[in-house]
Amino acid sequence: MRFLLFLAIFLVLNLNAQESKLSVKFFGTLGGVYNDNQKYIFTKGPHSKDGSSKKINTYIDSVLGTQATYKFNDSLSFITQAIVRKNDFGDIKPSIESSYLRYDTNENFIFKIGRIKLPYYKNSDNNNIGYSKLMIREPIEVYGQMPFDIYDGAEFIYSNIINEYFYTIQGSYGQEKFDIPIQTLNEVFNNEIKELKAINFTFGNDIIEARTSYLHGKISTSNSSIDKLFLGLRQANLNNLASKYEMKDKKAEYFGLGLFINYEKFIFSSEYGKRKVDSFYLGTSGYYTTFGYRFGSLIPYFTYAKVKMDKNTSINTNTPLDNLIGIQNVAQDTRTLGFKYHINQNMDFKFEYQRIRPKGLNGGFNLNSTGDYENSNSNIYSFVIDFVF
Amino acid sequence: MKLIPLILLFTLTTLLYAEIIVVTNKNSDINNLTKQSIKYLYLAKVNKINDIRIKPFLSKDKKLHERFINNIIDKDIEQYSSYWARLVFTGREAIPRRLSFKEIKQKLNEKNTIIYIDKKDMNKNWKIIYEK
Repeated sequence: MRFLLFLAIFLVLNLNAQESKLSVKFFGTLGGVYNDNQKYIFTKGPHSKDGSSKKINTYIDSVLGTQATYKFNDSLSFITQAIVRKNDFGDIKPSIESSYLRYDTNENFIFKIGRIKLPYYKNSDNNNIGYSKLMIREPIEVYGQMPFDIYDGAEFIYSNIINEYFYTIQGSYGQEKFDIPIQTLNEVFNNEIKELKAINFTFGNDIIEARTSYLHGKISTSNSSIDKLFLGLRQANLNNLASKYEMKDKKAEYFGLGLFINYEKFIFSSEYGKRKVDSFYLGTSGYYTTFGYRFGSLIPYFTYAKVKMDKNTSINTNTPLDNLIGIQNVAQDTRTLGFKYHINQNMDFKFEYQRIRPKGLNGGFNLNSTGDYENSNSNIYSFVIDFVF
Repeated sequence: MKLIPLILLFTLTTLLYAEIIVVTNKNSDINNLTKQSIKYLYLAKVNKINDIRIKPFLSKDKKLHERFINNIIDKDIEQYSSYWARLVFTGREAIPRRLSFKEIKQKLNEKNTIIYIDKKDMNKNWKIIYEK
């Protein structure tokens, strides 16, 4: 990866000499979020530290980014995307979002090698580009199921037309190491996924589009408390229990489906996702459905989203494992009413009202309990300005 | 004398609804494209039609561009802008350059490049591959 970073710096330093081959673009989102329920902190994701609890937070959705593309020739280019935002650890730091060499065979085949986004969802690739999306943030009930969205490896994309329909096949292979802060335990989990294979198939025309994706890999996690917990189970001769829930080289899978319709002024989109990991990181299933209508530059929309746990999160082994399984419950549902207003061809304004009903003991996917559990709903008010230049 | 207002009305109507055509170099391998193929090229779903690599370009003429997006691509201009932002910032496709009419004339010297123009600007070195 260092090679890619050095190459990016080299290309930027050569900006003046090769100006015509280099293009630099900028994107960003600035906004605020208010959660009216002080029993929960509303966060961007299930692992985020910073959030809103009875006061406006301006970091949850805000992000500034840039993308540099260097074209060696008509086929070969190098693309790097960097962003600045408050990360899951609560630090405002720049990071490289993706960085890869792209080879276009000009035969409807594209190859990428480097640091690449995974094609789980329709908006996986452009999740940071608010201007390109309808909602302020994609429904976490689907988009939050997998704890990582990028990998080091290679990808191919093949597109073509059959009769009046287009189709795209996208395949990925690689690996990834990533750290996750678990706010409820105040600890960091070091994770690794190996032999990562993913495939995505998209089919449709300019009105209707359907997609399906499947990901498979072997996942491991390491953390002193977790390692100690499973060592304790084995020392107590609970080997079967330890093997069932320990996350060491365990099979991790994700399956997704999507249907999107843009008919005249009507917008419909729906995605379903299912995560299956054979460990304490239990399986989940979630979906969302959105209806929208275009009144010129104004698009009001309504979304219903729901995620449930596929297995019971209340187990009774009289070991610390019971608590570890209990905090995995992120079940919740969300109703969203919002609008997107196109200010011009580079900028939009969005507003959303959300009502979230958490089901888990510590809240839900993006609601962390601030104290003793109380099953109450949260009203979330969000606004953003998105821009691209 | 009654004819004058009619002629003026006809001229005005012609100006307002000037026909958009999609053209290429007369030596290009493409002879015609369906509306659907043009949509897929401008939506970057494919870059090859009937085994021919085709390079689409966009016009700098804002009104012409908007009419092309509305009438041929069947999208609102805002919808198309959001769509392109998605493609460009995900590295799927570089934005085809927005060309002035002078640049269009130069670009169309290359085979298999396509662009939309006002029919009145048609040139003997080009051929029409789509006409609504």
